Amino acid sequence: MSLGKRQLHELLFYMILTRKLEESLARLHREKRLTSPLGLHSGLEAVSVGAAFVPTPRDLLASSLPTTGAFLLRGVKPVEIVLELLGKGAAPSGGRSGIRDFGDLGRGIVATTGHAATHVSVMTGMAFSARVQRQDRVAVALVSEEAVATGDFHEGLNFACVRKAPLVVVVVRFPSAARPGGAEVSQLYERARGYGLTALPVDGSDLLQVIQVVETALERAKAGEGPTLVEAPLRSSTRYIGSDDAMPAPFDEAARLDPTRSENETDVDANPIRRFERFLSNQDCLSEVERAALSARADDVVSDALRAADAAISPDARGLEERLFEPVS
Amino acid sequence: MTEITYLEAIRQAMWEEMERDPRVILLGEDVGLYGGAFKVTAGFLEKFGKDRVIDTPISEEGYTGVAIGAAFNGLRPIVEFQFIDFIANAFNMITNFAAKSRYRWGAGVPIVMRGPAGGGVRAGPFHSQNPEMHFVHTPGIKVVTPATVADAHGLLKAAVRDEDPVLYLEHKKLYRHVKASSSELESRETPPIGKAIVRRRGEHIVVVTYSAMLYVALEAAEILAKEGIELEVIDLRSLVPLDRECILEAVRRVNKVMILHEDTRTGGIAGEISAIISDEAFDDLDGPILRVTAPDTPVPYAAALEDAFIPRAEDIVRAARRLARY
Repeated sequence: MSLGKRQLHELLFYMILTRKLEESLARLHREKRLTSPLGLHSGLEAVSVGAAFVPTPRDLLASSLPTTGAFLLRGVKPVEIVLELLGKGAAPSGGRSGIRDFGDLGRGIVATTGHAATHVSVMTGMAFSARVQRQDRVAVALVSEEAVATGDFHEGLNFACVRKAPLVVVVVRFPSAARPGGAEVSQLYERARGYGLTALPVDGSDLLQVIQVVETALERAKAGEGPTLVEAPLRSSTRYIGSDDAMPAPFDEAARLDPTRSENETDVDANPIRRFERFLSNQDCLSEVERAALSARADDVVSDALRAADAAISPDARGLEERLFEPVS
Repeated sequence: MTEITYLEAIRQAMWEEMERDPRVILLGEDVGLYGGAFKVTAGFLEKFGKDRVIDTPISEEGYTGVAIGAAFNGLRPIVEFQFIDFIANAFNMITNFAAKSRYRWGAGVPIVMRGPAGGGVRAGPFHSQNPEMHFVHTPGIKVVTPATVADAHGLLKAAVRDEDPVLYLEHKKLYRHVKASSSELESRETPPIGKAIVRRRGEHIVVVTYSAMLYVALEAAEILAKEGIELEVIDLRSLVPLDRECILEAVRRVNKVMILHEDTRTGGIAGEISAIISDEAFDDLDGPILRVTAPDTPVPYAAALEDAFIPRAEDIVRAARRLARY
């Protein structure tokens, strides 16, 4: 995929926006204004943005990960995410759900239950039904490695393989300190081979690699070659699930703007945003002024979202029992 | 004029719906090549093809999830559980994904989940269960329990056309034992889900029941009629929605009520109905609300044990005589 400067800047913007928005959500959680289990991970920005950049609006996406960037790329407005997590009446679920991922079939987003891999078979069903209805659609499911230990993951993937469903499953692997569930799951490749499933590795901290590999997986799906597993280990991640956890690594403006600060190359490699910035700078594609403008724009978007969500009213409790079933005409 | 069974009515309903609507697909274990464990889908694969009649692995959670995804993407899947007992393996998918999607984010899940329920065929604890209350207790799922051939046919068609997830519990004991004239299925309009029906009028005691217990209630009614005790028998037809008005109207008219089900006692629908009557029609009661149910045990295998487990006409007769004394 050939990307122009404007697209590259937009990708960077969405990664910065993702990080800044998630940091704001963590602050709201710490202030106990937001009570939903957040489960945020810094370091996910490349997967979050990269996995959602390639699919077209016709394609479908679901994620049990805190992939805020993926939802933003599907057209979700930051204010919708804040409204949802604050449980406001104008939230997409009207205050009924409150988990960080929500659904809107019109924007090709399927809400998960938040559990590891329940959505894998659902996305398999969407992919399978797309194939039999001759729709040009691919379903993309994002999961963490903990999903690989669940039955849901294997039941869904088995069906997808047997039926050659146009499905892409992106499995994110976390560094041990940030791993959900704590237990290590190994040898994803071995498992994929057991299904006769194509598995593609990618550095989960490198946005352009993620885009390239997801593009390959989508091409396979659209060519009728069936599902692909993309395995994306992260080099670094900070986890935030509750008030006792550390905040996600701060987006450190001071350090970034300080030309005298020496940054370890390994640290940059592990930080998807810094890594992409370094790439763009090396390509003479990002000046400091441009970078600062993108960052300021993200600040404005987040501020506007927080302000609007804060001003929104709570749901009307009179609607509590509505929308359980389709009304009978 | 031909006679058709409850099983054939289910087969016909699915066949007709699949002919009527190309969006209707069928998934389950052995539904294709084998034609279903009870042969209810024999010939479907040949007629409708492998993209619409899908043999699945033994992975209830997985294929229920596939059905939900297909429903989101415009299809109307019927999921067959080879025995309804196996639905326990899909519990998370049904109660957390299917049941909550419309409420959470407005995405309806028009799927039918059907399979043989109930005991009386000496099949033991894993092929005889009545799992309805797990799902009655989960807001967002309709639960349909046909007792007659016409309802087996009509309510299944209604379930396929419904915009929400419907659990359709077909009682395996009725499959080949309940028959009706094929003319009963012709020119019938598809009944609405949620309307109970009075199967027998009586003035002394109302028996509220559903599914195969309907026939046990009617058998008891014949016995009691000879003693001058006339039972009114209500067939609920669905537990969600529950036709409260039908129940309450009968209680207000007849003043004594008994609730009968094959499901186990604690947490069975009888407790809920009893509470509704107590809330809404307490002053109309001339006696206690009695429950005739299976005991709180798994469904046992041996004939002597299963016969004692499943409510019999004599249990109803005994309860009715007690109630009649008030």
